[in-house]
Amino acid sequence: MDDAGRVNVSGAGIDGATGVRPGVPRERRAPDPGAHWDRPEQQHDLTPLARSGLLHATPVFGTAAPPRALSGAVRRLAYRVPEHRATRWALLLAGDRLDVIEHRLAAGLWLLPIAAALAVGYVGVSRALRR
Amino acid sequence: MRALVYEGPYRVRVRDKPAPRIEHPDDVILRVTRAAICGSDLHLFHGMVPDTRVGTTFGHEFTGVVEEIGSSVRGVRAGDRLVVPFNISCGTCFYCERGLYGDCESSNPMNDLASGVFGYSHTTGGYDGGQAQYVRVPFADVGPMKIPDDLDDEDVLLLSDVLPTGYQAAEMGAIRQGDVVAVLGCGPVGLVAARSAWLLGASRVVAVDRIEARLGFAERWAGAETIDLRREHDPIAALKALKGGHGPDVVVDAVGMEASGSAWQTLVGRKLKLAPGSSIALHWAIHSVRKGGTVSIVGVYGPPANLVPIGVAMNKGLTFRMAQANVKRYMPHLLEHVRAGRLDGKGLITHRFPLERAPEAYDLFDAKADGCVKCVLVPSA
Repeated sequence: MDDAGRVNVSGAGIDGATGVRPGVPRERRAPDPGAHWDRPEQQHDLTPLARSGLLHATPVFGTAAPPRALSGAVRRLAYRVPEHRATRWALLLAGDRLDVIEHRLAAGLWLLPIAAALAVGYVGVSRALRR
Repeated sequence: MRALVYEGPYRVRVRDKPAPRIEHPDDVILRVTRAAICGSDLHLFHGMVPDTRVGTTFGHEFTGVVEEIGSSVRGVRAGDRLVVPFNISCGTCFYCERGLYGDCESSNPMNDLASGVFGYSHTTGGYDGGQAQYVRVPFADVGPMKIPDDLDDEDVLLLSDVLPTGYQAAEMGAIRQGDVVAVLGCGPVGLVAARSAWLLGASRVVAVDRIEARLGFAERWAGAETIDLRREHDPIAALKALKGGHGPDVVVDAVGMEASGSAWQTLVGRKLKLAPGSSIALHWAIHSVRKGGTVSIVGVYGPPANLVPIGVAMNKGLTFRMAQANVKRYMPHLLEHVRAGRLDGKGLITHRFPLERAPEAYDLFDAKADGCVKCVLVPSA
């Protein structure tokens, strides 16, 4: 503040009038000028996993990581539960943890042939030494 | 392409993954030039957000150059530089028509909670985010804003989320000339909320945090007084004292579900995950704001439920306002504030990392170490 008690922040009070605030009124009725459709075209390449009760897939959706394996089954089950039930969210979190376990197991699969080779070698050497 | 990939709580890596492709006629593919790490990315990083799948790419604050355009795109050309709102909105649905872009019902098939969001789990639509070399941007004619030639990407990068979210937080407080405003949390959004409170006519702005570097930022960047929670053990009393014992007229919760300050809430909500995080910041807001005052919430809380003192709020006659920011609605107005130097988004960026060092950037940002306020990834570096 200055000596007179006024705030020195640049632009202080510049949006004080509600008329200049972009979020006032909270709701306004105007379609976006960038949109050149009444309803957007539908994204088609696959059907997304979606909440129960949704009649059609939304016009666009993400395809980052489709559900797979056991975690995918848990997630499919979760989306059949209404979102106001805690069960839905608990199942989704359980699916997340399963997903990580599946990923770690899959990432470790390359170790299996090495482990098998070591095991066979160990058994072979043990038998040879016993003779 | 190279992209940040989620591999489980506290574990992200940069891996090769297929480049995005046009999946809808109004898509564009953007070559990312800057991608910020947001505080809410840490909720994903910590495994707090349901349906965060291994293999997804985070990042909802980014700028880039258009590489490829869908067949029905009209307003965007290859080579255009764009800054992209974090919400994916169609422009014509029931909600977009009312300016509620954060509630668009054309981009999230998973639930009826919010619009699609880039890189923010399948709970918000399952879109890959911008912490990568390339990203798919749906509804390119609606959301993105072309970056003016007189501004560089970092000047406008935070128009994608932080600046609109912080400004809207203050605006939702319905601040009147002379109001006292308290902001809980001095992360980037809290800092912008504090700075915006001045623009909206506050007479006194107080920012609350426990991290020294961020409190310093609140004083220098936002011009706010500060309450340091390391020294102040009763924040509610300290906040109430701001206005003759009544409490602030407006309290902004810019913290959300990972607030510290209550051992019980930390144990139940953050460690045991029996509730979706800690709601202690919201408790402080409700208890400290004056009777008849307004609590504005932009801190992220997860579904399904938190315990909050609603009886206190009812008896005090509080007004609650909260929302995911309707980014597109704020971009033109805030662009002028950026140009005039009234909201210096670039000034919030404290750290820059090449994309390949993104895991290190996450660890640093998560630890809030080295004075880190805002981390930006540079894919081309």
